[in-house]
Amino acid sequence: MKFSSKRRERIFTVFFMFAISVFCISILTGVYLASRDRIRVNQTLASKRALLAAARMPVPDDQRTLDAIFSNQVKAYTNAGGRAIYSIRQGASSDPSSGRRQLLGFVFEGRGQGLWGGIRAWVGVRADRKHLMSLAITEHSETPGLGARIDEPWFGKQFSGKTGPLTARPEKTASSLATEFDGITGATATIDGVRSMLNTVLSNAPGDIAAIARTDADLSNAVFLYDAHSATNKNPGGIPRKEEAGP
Amino acid sequence: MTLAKPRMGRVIFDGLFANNPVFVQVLGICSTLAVTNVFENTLVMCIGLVFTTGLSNFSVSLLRSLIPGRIRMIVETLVIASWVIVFDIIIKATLPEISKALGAYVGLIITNCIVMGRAEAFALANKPLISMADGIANGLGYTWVLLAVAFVRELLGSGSIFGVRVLGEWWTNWNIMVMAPGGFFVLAILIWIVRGRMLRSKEGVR
Repeated sequence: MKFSSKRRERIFTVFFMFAISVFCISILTGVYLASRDRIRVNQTLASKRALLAAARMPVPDDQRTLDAIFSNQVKAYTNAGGRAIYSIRQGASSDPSSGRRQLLGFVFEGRGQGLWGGIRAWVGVRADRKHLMSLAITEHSETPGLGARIDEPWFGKQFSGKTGPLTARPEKTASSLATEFDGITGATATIDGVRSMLNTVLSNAPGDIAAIARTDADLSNAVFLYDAHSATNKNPGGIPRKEEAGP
Repeated sequence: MTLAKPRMGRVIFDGLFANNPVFVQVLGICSTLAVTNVFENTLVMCIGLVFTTGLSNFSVSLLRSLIPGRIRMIVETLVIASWVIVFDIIIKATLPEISKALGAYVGLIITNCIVMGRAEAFALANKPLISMADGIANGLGYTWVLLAVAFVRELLGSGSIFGVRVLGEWWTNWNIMVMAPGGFFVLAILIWIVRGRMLRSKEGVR
């Protein structure tokens, strides 16, 4: 078969494009595979740190302290829908006679829909199952400078002590109402997604916690003790007063 | 680039000053406006850009006699995108915090006009090493302008540099500097000063 030079040039063009694509893809695959484990470790660490931030716990820098907190104070569960729930306990017992460590709260895996894609977050809920501890956004693809500001620390921290059903107010309102939070100017769709994610977590929290407590005697004990404790104590959640001050 | 054989020193001087991609060619403006509200993010973005312009110019120049003319831009985009993703993976593995802060910006280097512009204008016509120097010089030319803009914006907008508060409590942050309009104002003023004062004589010769 004979090709005209024009045809030969076309075939070369297609062949060249194919060859260079294969070459670039192989290099990328190589780099990706070489650093995959490292990236995965980084992601796990970042996710663990975010989880502690959502529970308003001090976040350690070194991995050993972080692992110690997770093996000692954090316990993982899943709800009926397959979402992760973690129970968080005090590090050391404040009651030497029983040695029991008080329940600080729960961290729920929250998923919502932003403007450009999904939003994933850790949502901290106090042991009273009604009030939020904090919020730490772990994944989103929102507009940098606008919706992406949901991962700024002030945004998550403002939820401390808030309860559902939540409503967004304009940025910097700093509402004293427990059901209102500050939105972000120019990011209405993103804030809507975060708001409905939090409302879903808050409305399901009592049911989810009751369900996981049924499978874990230790947890149901802790929940029961918490309820008995808070009935006689004006400091629900065992969280120090100072931290409870609203925004 | 009409010179038959550009000299290394000239190429570097052009990229940094005389033919600066932001001031003179007015390229890469979108990222100039987007990332410059925080000094640290700007710095990492610029390192990424220098890495990409240098290596993509080098690779395109290596392939320049092979690339069929009608698909040259597709090939350039492919090469540029590959290098940007390599950079993205590297910072994800080594600097996870900064990688998270930059998020989508790193991917946006692919669409930065400077990278494609240098590949088209220089790398297709010159040898690999000098092309790489041209890429790096242009990347650095972009870097110093962006850092200058970021310095002004973070200082006036947040009263800090590198996240460290330098202006006292008496300072009222100019919120507009953190938002996109602040980028327009600062860049326009800088271009006015540089082109109006420093590059005036050169413009006259042209």
